Amino acid sequence: MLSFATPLWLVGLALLPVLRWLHRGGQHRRSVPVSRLGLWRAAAARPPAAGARQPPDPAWRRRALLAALLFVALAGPQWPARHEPVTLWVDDSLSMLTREAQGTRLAIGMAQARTLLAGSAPADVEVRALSQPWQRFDSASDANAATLAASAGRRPAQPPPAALLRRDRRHWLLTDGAHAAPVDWPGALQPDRRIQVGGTVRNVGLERLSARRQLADAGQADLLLRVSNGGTAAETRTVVISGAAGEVVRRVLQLAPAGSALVNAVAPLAADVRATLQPADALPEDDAITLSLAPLRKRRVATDSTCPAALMAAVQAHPALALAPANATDVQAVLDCGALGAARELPTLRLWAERTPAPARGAVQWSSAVEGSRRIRLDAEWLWLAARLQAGVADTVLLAAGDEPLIVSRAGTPKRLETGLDFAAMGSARRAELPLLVNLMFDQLLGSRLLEELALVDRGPASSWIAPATRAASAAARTPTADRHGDLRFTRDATQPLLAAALLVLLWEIAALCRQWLRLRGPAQAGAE
Amino acid sequence: MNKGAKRTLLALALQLAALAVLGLAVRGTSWLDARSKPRLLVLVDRSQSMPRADTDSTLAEVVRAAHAAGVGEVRSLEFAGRPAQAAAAQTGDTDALQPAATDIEAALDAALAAHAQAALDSVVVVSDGFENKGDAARALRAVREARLPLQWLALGRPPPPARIVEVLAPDRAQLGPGLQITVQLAGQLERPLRVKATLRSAGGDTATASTVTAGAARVMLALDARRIGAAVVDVALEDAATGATLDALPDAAVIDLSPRAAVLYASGSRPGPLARSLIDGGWALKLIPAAQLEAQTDGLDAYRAVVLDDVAVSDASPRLWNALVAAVKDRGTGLLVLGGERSFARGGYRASSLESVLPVLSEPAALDQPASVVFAVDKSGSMGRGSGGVDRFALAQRAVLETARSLTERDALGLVVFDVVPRVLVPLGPAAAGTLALARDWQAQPQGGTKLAPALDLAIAELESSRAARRLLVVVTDGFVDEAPLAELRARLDRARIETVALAVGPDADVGALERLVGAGTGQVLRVNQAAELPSVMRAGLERQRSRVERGRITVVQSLALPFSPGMLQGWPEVSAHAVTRSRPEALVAVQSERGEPLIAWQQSGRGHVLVVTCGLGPWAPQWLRWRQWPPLAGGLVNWVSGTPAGQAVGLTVTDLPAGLLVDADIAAGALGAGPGDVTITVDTPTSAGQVLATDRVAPGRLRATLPDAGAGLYTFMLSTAHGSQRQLHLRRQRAENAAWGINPAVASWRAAGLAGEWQPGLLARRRDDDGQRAPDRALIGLGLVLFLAGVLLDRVPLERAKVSAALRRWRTRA
Repeated sequence: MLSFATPLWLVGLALLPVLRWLHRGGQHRRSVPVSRLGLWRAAAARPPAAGARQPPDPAWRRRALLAALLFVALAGPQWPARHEPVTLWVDDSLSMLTREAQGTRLAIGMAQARTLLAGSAPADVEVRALSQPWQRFDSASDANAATLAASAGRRPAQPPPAALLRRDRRHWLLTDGAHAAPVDWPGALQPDRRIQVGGTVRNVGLERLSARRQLADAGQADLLLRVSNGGTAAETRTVVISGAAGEVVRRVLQLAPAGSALVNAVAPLAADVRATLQPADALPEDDAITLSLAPLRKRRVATDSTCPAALMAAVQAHPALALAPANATDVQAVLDCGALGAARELPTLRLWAERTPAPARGAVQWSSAVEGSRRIRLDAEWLWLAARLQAGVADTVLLAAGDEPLIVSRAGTPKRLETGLDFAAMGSARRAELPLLVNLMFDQLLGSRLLEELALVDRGPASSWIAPATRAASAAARTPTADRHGDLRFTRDATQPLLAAALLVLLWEIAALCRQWLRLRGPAQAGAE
Repeated sequence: MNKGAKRTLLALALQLAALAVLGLAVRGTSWLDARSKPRLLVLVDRSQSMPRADTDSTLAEVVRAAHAAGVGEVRSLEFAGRPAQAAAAQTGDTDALQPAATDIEAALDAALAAHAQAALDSVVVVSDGFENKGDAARALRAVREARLPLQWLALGRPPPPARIVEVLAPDRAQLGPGLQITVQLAGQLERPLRVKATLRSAGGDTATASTVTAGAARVMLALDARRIGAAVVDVALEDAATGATLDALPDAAVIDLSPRAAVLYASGSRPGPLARSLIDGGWALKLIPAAQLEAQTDGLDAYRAVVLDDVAVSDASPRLWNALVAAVKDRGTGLLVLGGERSFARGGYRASSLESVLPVLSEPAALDQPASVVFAVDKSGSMGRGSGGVDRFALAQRAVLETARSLTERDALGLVVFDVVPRVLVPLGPAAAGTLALARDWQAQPQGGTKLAPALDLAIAELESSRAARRLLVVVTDGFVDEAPLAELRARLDRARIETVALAVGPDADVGALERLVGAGTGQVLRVNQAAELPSVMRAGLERQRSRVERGRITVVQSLALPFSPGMLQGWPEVSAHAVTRSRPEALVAVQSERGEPLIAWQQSGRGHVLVVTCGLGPWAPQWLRWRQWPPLAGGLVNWVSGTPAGQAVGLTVTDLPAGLLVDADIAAGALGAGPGDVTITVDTPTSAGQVLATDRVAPGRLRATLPDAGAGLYTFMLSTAHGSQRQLHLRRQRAENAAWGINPAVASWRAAGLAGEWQPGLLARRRDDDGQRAPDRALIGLGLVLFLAGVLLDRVPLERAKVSAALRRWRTRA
């Protein structure tokens, strides 16, 4: 039933009789032909009662219609929706890309959803992916399905946020049921309609490929591949890992249902590595995985040639650092011992040497800015200083011995670390702390853990699961979101169509006025001639 | 143009104007209708870290700016530890918001919920960005996904006039006074300020230090560390005149306090090369002779490890050994036992409480070889009851009997008693029968002088008749050995392959002569100062003598990685001797002799690491000391037993995340067996103890675990592998709301990442593209209606100027 948001505006409809009155017929519409104007005064017009009253100008109907449309539009008409608005929640887990006979689960599901939506002809459909619930698509079209498929599996599918489970909408779920999260809706709710797709239950997938730089040989990377059987039957697969120089590992794996295996390999650190499963299966997207080893490549450090040899040697020997000429441009950091001149817009480690080296005094103290796990055991007696640093209020003293700052992180960008440590003196002791200290400084400078860096592609622990799980018991205890609607009516704002109609009528009115103006303008022009 | 045409033209113009206005309404143009204007939600941080007055004025400014920019509806939502309900006006009731906390994520979620109910055009957050609940970055990403523009108006409390910038502290320190920390100050430091530091231990002990300063930006304080373990440092800055707290930094640092001497090193002989190496390497070592070990019985907990370098069980009482075993098993004290002439079987370890925690049993294979033992007991007059009432001969009888009872059925025994003339009391025969004979009356009385040579001749003759693999002579005497052809006797003993154990009883015993008789090679001379000790000393002495020390050029073989880095060492030098032992089934033997006898073995005994080196690290392994691998070997051994990290072999990295902690364990390739099953990570959190973390092997040599947030405070992680363990302290800090000031630097990073925009009032007027979901502007519809009706009126009602003028005149006249 029609309702109004602000029905008070309907009072304006009372003006319609006035409009009619304005268009009334009668005396004022009659013409009285006379031969002379002087006779006008003597002319005796018949009173209105003397004859039949003329009908009102038919234009009043058009105008009354237009006024009525606008008054009703102002009242905010709400039409009862013939079909309820629907939010289609799409499980965009990787398993939704599993190939069934008619296509991917996602494509099949979206087609089913379209059919169902077309059958019920909902007025308002929005589509939301469970991995990105706050992003809204306006239909279940092929284009949107393709967009969802392109991003499927990139982020874990989560239950819909409670804030988006609006009571004034129906909530449908498209899923294959392979994962628990998409069906575990908040507040023990369950979808008003669940579109379940998928029948394939066999799949083996590459779950994770990771790499670390070998500390002993910085040109090599240790690889670890995790392969999982996400199906319901035992499977045999051949895993092939390839690097820049070709195949590095080929191994045949026997995997029990829900089982997994780890494969180790070593590959050159030069390029990407790729792992594949043979033969491919119903979910080819998880049968290959490519890992970029770029994060493990060495950082080039533009180095001042006047730096102490021990420091240069430590940087050179660092698995994640490489020395570069002072004027090199493709560098990530600068090591400046005073001969580089103007500062560059790069993270810079500045060594100061302004006095005769002397051993540090006092206990080694750390700033809380240096995480406990990054701290190294330092013997204050081993530390020699060639400069005394002054720390400003905004600077951070990362390391101190007694009251003397040893390493200071200057405020501002790019990052700048300064130290007064004398690496020439400390290097003569040939202690293991020196390379660790250099590593610590470059860790702080570059904001990373150089020795612990990983290259990682992780699809998640259940990424290869494609078989639907049984959830009848949990579903029984859940409340359909439809039950929450109660007597809530789904309505639809009808202002826009009314305004559109009003515009058409107004155009008609304008056309009529144009004709009228032309008609009235014609006799006047004739008289003037 | 006639009047009618003019009127119509004007009416037409009005209708065209109405058309234009309605067209704008249909198009969604916003004019005066608040429903069609941009809608703004202002999230207002009402936590204690926010300045109330400034926040109020900022909110008012935002509202003014929003209205000035054409925003139709401005709603505010206050939040702190939790969000309030969205309201058109400020509620003023902040207590319900839990102002002692800040949960920006919850506030943003509430904004998203409001946005889902009725579309918003933008959100403005008024906050300092400090949060101690939730994950604002995660919620900001959701807001970005929802395509809801968000501006962050950063507002925080001004810093206190004088404040604590940073606290520098050592991460490890030894107990005692003089634990130095440095407090860096900033602000107005001219007036006298008191800097106070408190050291809190897990047991609740506190130590406080304070100093008054004026003008100094860096203040050093010395604390008295009195309790082992992790201690947290709190720092406060007070006005020295009034005592008012100007700034406070609780949980400023955590320090791992260890005993002053981390390792107790007991040496049975001269301190060995290991002790010197450890001292040279900077180890905190308490070096004592084995004889003083007893004094450490109640202080073992003060050490992370105990090194027994050629120490015999007899060097201390059972109480010491029981205490050591308890310390190892129950409290994780490490134990390193080094072999030597006085250790393992020779040191009386067999069946001792010490042996119960060792990875090897002091059961040499030689014990199984049958032996013939002849006891030669002095029965001279001095062995009888003396002035002190002690009957040495009776005690000697008891000693012989008890020792005989320790022999096996395959052994043989005989007894010779002597004064000036020797006599065979029990002929050499099966041990069982001999023991029975010994248990009877010996039919001998102590009397006369002492002549050793005839007795030895007789005993040697007895032994020479034996076919047993080993021949042992046990001599008991308290007298002076004179005129005896010692060299000849010794040569005869050597020819007959007889090993001699000589017990010199009492102060008058001729120890020197006995040592010349026994020599330095195969026998031993035992001093018995108190005759009452004679039974135990004799039995232990014989047992030790029977235990074998393998001697010669012994090739060393490494079959398993050592439990520290580097696990495998190349080019092990030979050793010249080692105590022959047998490894326990559960022990791991990394280094052994060519014959497979353990040289380096270890095991976990209760909570402690125990490692033995049966060849010792001294005279029996002289080439090891010159070996280039000696430093890592020596340091690694003590590192491992003391449970301290061995370089980079095991690394534990703990990272604070909003929802908890991320724990990464890096296991060096040589130390990693397989995967999660080999490594356990346990953690003591502020709310629980001994929680075991589930680990996932995410990369080569990398295990990862996550720990849900258990609040601010100290987290103690213990990473244990078969090769060692590492303890890592982590202080999760959450500065109190009322102690925070300024703007959280994270706000800048969120802006840089595009998660939040700068405060720009001009952008508030922008309507978000929401796919035409809004109602048309009612004001525009109304205007269109008015224009239309005016056109109709103009068309229908002819207004002549004269009539209008007349009407106006009449009206004026009446007026």
